[in-house]
Amino acid sequence: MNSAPYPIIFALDALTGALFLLTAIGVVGTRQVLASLQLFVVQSLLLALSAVLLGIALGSVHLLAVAAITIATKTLLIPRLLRRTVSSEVYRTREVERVLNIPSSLLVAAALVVVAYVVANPLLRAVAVPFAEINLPLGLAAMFLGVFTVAVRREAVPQLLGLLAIENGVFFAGVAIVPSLPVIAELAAAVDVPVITLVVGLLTRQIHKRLGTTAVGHLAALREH
Amino acid sequence: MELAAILVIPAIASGLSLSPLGRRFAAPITLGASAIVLVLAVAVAEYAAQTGRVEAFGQGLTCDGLGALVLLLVSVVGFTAALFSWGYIRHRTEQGGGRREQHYYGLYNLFVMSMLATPVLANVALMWIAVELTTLLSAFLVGFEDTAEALEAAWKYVVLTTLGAVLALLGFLILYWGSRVAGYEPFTWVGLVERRRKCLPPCYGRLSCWSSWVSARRWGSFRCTHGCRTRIARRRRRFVRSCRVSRPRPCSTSSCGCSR
Repeated sequence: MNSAPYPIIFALDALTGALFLLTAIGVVGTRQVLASLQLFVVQSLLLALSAVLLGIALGSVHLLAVAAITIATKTLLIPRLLRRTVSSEVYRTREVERVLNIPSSLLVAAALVVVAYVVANPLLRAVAVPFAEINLPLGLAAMFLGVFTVAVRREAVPQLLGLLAIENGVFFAGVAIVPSLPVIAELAAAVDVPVITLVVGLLTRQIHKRLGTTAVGHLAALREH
Repeated sequence: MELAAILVIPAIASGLSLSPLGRRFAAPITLGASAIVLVLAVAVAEYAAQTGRVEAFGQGLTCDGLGALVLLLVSVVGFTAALFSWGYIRHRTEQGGGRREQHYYGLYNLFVMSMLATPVLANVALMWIAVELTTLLSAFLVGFEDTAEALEAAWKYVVLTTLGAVLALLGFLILYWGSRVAGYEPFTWVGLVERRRKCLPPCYGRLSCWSSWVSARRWGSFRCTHGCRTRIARRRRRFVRSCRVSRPRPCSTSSCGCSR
C-alpha cells in the first residue's frame, strides 16, 4: 500500500471504485433501457467523484476539470441528447432482448472482473503509482464489462450505453495512472462523447424510421457465410 | 506551411459545398480542393524525403517519411474518390434533390480532412481525436444510400470502430504513463522516438516484443529497425530469447542479425 499520506481518501476511493464496478455489472444485468441509462448516469457521477478525490489527494487541478467535464457531458448532456434523438426508445418501459440470459451474463461478468485483476497486476508491479492499485483494475473491469454489454445486447440504445461505459472505464483507470492528463485530452473527451451519442442516436432514429425496429442485433443481411 | 494548407483546404471546400454556392458547384469544388491537396502532398513528400522531416507551427504539425507515405496515399485516394463521386452521387441523388448532394460533399471533405490530419498531427492525443473523427464523419457516408443494408453496415461500422478507438484511448493513456515514467517529454511522436532507448518498465518491452512477434508470425517475416527482412522460421528462437531483455539493444547484438 503506497497510500500512507491520505488513508481516508484512499478508503473513500476504494468505496467509489466498488460502487463503480457494481454499476458496470448493473448495466450488463438490467432488463430495461431506462434503468441502464440511469445506471450509466450514476456510474458517471462515481467517475467524477473518484476524479475529485484523486484531485484533492494529488493536488491536481486537471482532475477537477475532468470531474467537471464528466458531470457536464455524461450526466446532463447525454440523457438530453438521447431524449431528443431516440425518445420513444429510451422512455418506453420495456424489456431488452439479449443473447445470453441474465444469470449466465452475470457469471461471465464475474469472470471478466477476475481477468481484469490478472491483466492489471503486471502493470501495477512495474510502476508504483498512488491509487492505481484501486483504479486500474476496476477501470479495466468496467471496460471489459462494457465490451461484453455491446456483445450481448441486441437493442441499439443499450449497445450505445455499453460503448459509453467502456469510455467511463478507461477514464476511471486514466485518472489514476495519468493525473496530469493534458488539457487537450480532457477537451477531446468533452467533445467526443456527446458527438458519439449524437451520431449513434441519429443513426438509430434513421434505422427506426427505415426498418421499424431498433433491434440492431437482428440485422444480419451482411454476413460472411 | 504546406502542412497547414493541406488541412485548411478541405475545411474550406466543406464550407463552400454546404453554402448556397455548393448547390450547383459542390462536385467541382471538391475535385479542385482534392487536386490542390494532392499537389501539396507530393511537394511535402518530396521535401520530407530530402530533409527527413517537415515541420510547421512550432512542431505542432510534423511529417516524416512514414507520415509522407500515408499522406500521399490518402490524398491520391481522396482525389480519385472525388473524381468518381462526381457522376455517381449525382446519379444516386436524382430524386432527393441537391440538398443531399451538398450534405454528401460537406461530410466527404471533412472526412478527408480528418484522414489527412492523422499522419500530420505531432501530438499523439490529437492524433487519437483525428482517428475518432474519421469514424464519426464517415458514419453517414456509409449509410448514405439509406437502404436496410446501408444502415446495417453503418451501424456495425460505427459500433466496431468506436469500440476500437476507445480501447486505443486506454493504450494511449498507458503509453503516456510510460513516457512520463521514462522522464517527461511532450507527448509527441518525435518525443517518443527520442525517448525509446531510455528505461521502460520491463512489461512494456515484453508486450511490444509479443505484439511484434504476433505480427511477424502473421506476415511470415520480421522487420528489424534497419528495415532488413529475415525469415521468421530461422530467427524465431533468437528473437524470443532477446525478448527476455527488457531494453532494446543495438542491431548487431540483437535478433535481427543484419550487418549494420
